[in-house]
Order: sequence, then C-alpha cells, then structure tokens
Amino acid sequence: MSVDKLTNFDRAKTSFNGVVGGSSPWLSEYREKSYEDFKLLGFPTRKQEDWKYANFRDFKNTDFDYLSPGSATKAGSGLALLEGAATIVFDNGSFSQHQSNLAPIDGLVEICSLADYLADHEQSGKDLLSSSDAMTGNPMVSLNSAFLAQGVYVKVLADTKNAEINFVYNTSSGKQASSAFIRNIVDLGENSAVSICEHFTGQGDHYFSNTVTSYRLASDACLDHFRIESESSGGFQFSEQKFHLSERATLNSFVFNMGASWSRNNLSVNLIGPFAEANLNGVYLPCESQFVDHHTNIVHEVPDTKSSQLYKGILKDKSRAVFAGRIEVKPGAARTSAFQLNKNLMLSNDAEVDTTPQLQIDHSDVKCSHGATVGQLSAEEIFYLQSRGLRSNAAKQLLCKGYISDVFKPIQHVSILDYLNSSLVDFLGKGSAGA
Amino acid sequence: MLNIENLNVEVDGTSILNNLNLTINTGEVHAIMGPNGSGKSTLSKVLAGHPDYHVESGDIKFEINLKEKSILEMEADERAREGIFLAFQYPTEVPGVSNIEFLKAAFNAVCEHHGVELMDEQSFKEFVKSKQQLLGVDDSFIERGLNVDFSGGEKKRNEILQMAVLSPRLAILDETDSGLDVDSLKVVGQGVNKLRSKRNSMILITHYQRLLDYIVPDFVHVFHKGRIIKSGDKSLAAEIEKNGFDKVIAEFQ
Repeated sequence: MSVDKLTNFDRAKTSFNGVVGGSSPWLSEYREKSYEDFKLLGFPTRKQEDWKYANFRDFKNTDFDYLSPGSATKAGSGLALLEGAATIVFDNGSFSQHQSNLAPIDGLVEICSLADYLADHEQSGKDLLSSSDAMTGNPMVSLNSAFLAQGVYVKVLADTKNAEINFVYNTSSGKQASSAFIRNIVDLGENSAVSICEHFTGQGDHYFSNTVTSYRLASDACLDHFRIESESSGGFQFSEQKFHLSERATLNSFVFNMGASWSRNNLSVNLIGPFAEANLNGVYLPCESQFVDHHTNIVHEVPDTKSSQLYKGILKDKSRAVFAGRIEVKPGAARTSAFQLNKNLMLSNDAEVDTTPQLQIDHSDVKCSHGATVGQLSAEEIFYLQSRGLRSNAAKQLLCKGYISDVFKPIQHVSILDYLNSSLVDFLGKGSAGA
Repeated sequence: MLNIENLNVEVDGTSILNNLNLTINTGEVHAIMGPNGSGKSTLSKVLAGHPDYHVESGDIKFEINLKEKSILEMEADERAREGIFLAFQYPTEVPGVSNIEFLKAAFNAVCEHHGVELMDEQSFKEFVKSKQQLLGVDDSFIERGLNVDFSGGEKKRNEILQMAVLSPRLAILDETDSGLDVDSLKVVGQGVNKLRSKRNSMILITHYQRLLDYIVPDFVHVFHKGRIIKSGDKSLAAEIEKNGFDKVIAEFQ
C-alpha cells in the first residue's frame, strides 16, 4: 500500500536517496517498505497510548534534512567517556574512521560496517533486522529503518574479558534542521565480559538523532551498558536499545539524561535463557522546558530469570518527564523475579512527571513488585542541614545528591562516575536548587 | 552571651512562650526542666531559627564579634555559623548522604565563614577520629548514611559528635538523654562534659535529673506554660526528682 501523505522527513529522504546508492535490492526494498510503514503509522501523536505523555511542540512541524557526513563542529574523539577504551565515533550520523580508535580491542572484537555485514550475510542480516524490528508499530523505529545505511556490526569474541568500547554519536546542525540515523548490532560471545558506553551528544539548534542498537548476549556473557545523553538544548533525540539475554547472561544498564530539549528512550530486554539477569538503573535531570521520556519493556520468557529497575529523576523549572515501565512474564516463566521502582523529586511546582508501571503476569509462581513516588525536598531535612551551618542552597544540593546516590553507587567505572557527578553538580548549580 | 528578653512565640496561633526572660553568660551551663508541653522544645527550635516558629514580640540577643546582636532576622544556617548548635531530640535521617560527608560540609561552612583555612581530607578524618573516641564510635559509624537506620542511642551520639566537631559557643541539647540506655547515657553525658569549657555555654533541656548527674549545671530553671517559674542551682533538680513538677507548679500558683 502506498500513502501519498507528505511527512516532515521527505526532504531528508530525498537527500538520503541521493547520498546512498549501490545497495542490494532487498535492502533498498526494506528501506522503502519501512518508509511506507512510517507514513502509515504517521508521526506519533498523543492519541497513541505509547506516546500519550509526549510533548512534540515544534518537533512535528520541523522540516528535517538528512545530515551530510563529517560536518560535526566538535571532535568526537574527546567525547568518549570510558577512559582508555576503544572508541567508535559517528560524526553527524556517519562512522568516522579517523576519529575512531579500535586499537584497544584489537584481537578481542571483530568489527565492520553494518552495510558490509549485511552484504556478506544477506540471510542472517535479514533475520537480524526483522528481529530488531520486534517492537513493531513504533514510527521512530520505522523511520530508523527507512534510513538504514550507517552503523556498525560488532562481534565480541567468546571468553573476551574486560573489553571496553565507547560509541560516540556526535551531531551538529546549521540553520537547516537535520537528522541522523544510526543502526548498530552488537553480538557478545559466550562468557565474554564487556563495558559499552553509548554517548549521545551534539551542538546546534535543530537536529534529530535517531539511533537503534541491538545487543545479543550469548550464554554467560556480561554487559555493563551505559547510555549517556548530553545533547545540546536544540537536540531532539530518539534512541532504542534492545537486549536479548541467553542463559546466565547478565546486563547491567545505566541510562542518564541531561541535555536534549526532547528525548525518548526505549529500552527493551528479552530474557530468553534461564538464569539471565537484567539490572537497569536510570537518572534523568530535566530543567527549563525539557521533555524526557523513558519506556522500558522487560520480557521474562523462560523460568528463573531476574530483572530489577531503579529510575530516579530530579525535575526543575517547567520540565516534564515520563517513566513507563512494562514488565511481562510469559506463561511458564516460573520463579521470575521482577522489581521496579521509579522515584521523582520535584524542585519546582511547574514541573510535571507521569509515571506508569504496567505489569502483565501470565504465570503464578513469580515475585514481582513495583512502585512509584513523586515528592519534594523535606523541610525538616533542609532545616537539619541548615542548623549545622549549610546555606539553604547547599543543603538542598546535598539532599539532591543524596537522593541520587544509590543509583550511582553500583557504577564501577571511575571516569563515568566522575562525569556523572560533575553533570549533577552542574544541574544543581543552574539557577536555584528549587522550591 | 545569650539574652532572651520578653520573648513571645506562637505556633499555629497558639501562644507557646510567654514573656520569657533568660540570660546565659559565657561558660555557664543551664538546665531547663519542665513537664511535657511547657515549651522547652519550642525554645530550642526558636533559638536555632526554625522557620515555622514565629516570634511575636521580644528579642533574642547573641554575642557576635564581642557585640550583642539580635538574631531574630538571621536564618538557621547563619546562626549555626555564628556558633549556635541544636542537638535535636529527634535527629533527622538523610538517606544517601554519609555522616563524614555531612560533617565535612558543615565544618567547611563554618570555617569559610570565619576565614579559617580548610583541612584536607586526611587531616579532617584524623580530627574527626579524635572526636569519635570521645563518643565511642568507630569508623564504620561515620561512613554510614546520616542517621539512617541508627538506633536512638546512635542518633544521640551522632548529635554530640557533630557538636564536638563544630565546637559551638552555645549548644542547646534538647532531651539528649531521652531514649538512651544507662550505658549510652554515661558515654554521651561524659562526652558532653568533656566539651564543656569556660568559652562555651550550654542549655540542657531535660525531664530528668539523670543527665545532670554527668553534666552538673550551674543553674536549673523550671518551665511552665512557656516561662520560667523557678530558678535555682543543681539542688532544684534533685528536689524535682523527689517531689515532681506538680509541687513546684503548685507553689508558683
């Protein structure tokens, strides 16, 4: 079926088709099909359950172009947050060979462009893409598929220990609003242990960054994953991370939001092997009129799997946040343990948060709990700290740091922790610490 | 050092302190005793500058840089930096902030205010360690979250540890003896006693004489309906212990 409706990405699609050529017919077809899907689904609206709380403002009416490669104003290599690790830099949506540094993982990891991988492995490539499109009905993912050209395929060899990789997505735009699309696929071999930090950052007034990364963890693999978003205040950002965990695989995920004017993160975990375990932590710190939206989807498919989620936000000014955490326990997934907690600290009466847990449990022998809180700083705590000499602002900042501390606590990587702590200090120092 | 003059305080429209007058000189320890609801704790909050307590009339003057100054317009943190310390009856739990982190922040705030050079981390830890010994608390105690999951006795020890670190000129101990077992009372009482000097003053708010066995006061005042109805020396505490507050109140009326 073809839809003749114009979209705000038509200009980008035309530019894209001009830049990208020589793909295999099935890939071109896949893109066109995906663009049709996007048109059919349409740009998300608040009438859709999945986007109910999203605030699109000027996003929807912006006419986006496709970013030409290699024009980011800042060097990407300096934006790697895992110190001393391998770094894969995407400059305005394109893989940048000269800014990347793969030496630290030489011999541990095989890496190639996604296009090369798809050309060499047509059948498994098709399977991969269709499986990574599993979260169907999401126009943002369809859009990502429609622009599928840039991205890498990474394979961590079995038994590799302590490999560390930075993904830096560095985007910047000029006067014309632009968009960048990246699709990565990462395979973790059996019994491998890897840390990966995806850092989304940019400069400029009007840009949209859309990244989808799929991770497949083989048995006994362990992944420490960081998703750090520090886009510029003119950035719109959609990112999706999908994790498939085989038996005894462990995922420790940490997400952090601070910069973009609009950001939506989908994080899905499928626990497909027994004794697989996913621990998800998140912190979001919106201020001014920022909008930050987290959707998590944890699927316990087999017996003896565990998941836990702890997301905390501190909201300032007129910012808005969404946390929608979904847990699904499939029939037969006995002895599932699932825990979810979302806490929000409001530093302004004008800020707003919508938090919605959603549990679908189709098996009886399970342990599931969820909770959500929205609160303000306690006047008694502030007075207690003030009564020891701390100024009101310093007291509030210390309380906010304390509020977040348990989410930061499990993080072992010093360079990331330093970055997070200084970001938190910046956030708390902006304007007043609040009400 | 402290002059409370005709102080009237209302909380939620109810008069709690009525024309209270009290003068405390440098180096003196005053005990304030009285039945529940007599306004003792209100006095402690008012002195510390709690924003919910409104002074209707009267004044509180405190010696700052050798001059008596009204502190009514000063925020709680300003008063603290000038050397007023309140040991809380119910210390607040602050999750996520470690005891030592908090001590350092408070200590630095006071040092900065007085233009004293800040200590590096190691020196500060050693300094705190010398105070820990006073209260019989180990290193794990100061690494824990501020008052989080502390027992009643641990909370009270922690208040006195903070007092020892900040060395205030005026310390107000609000029912520091409540919730303490005999052994803890001894440690806390002796700890406070060691902090007593000619340069600082204390107000001990208590129901019982037992704390006063360790910290012998220079003056004892009996509180009733927001004012002092009788003052004396330590023998007044013993008399109350023997005959109860009712007798003193009856004599007054």
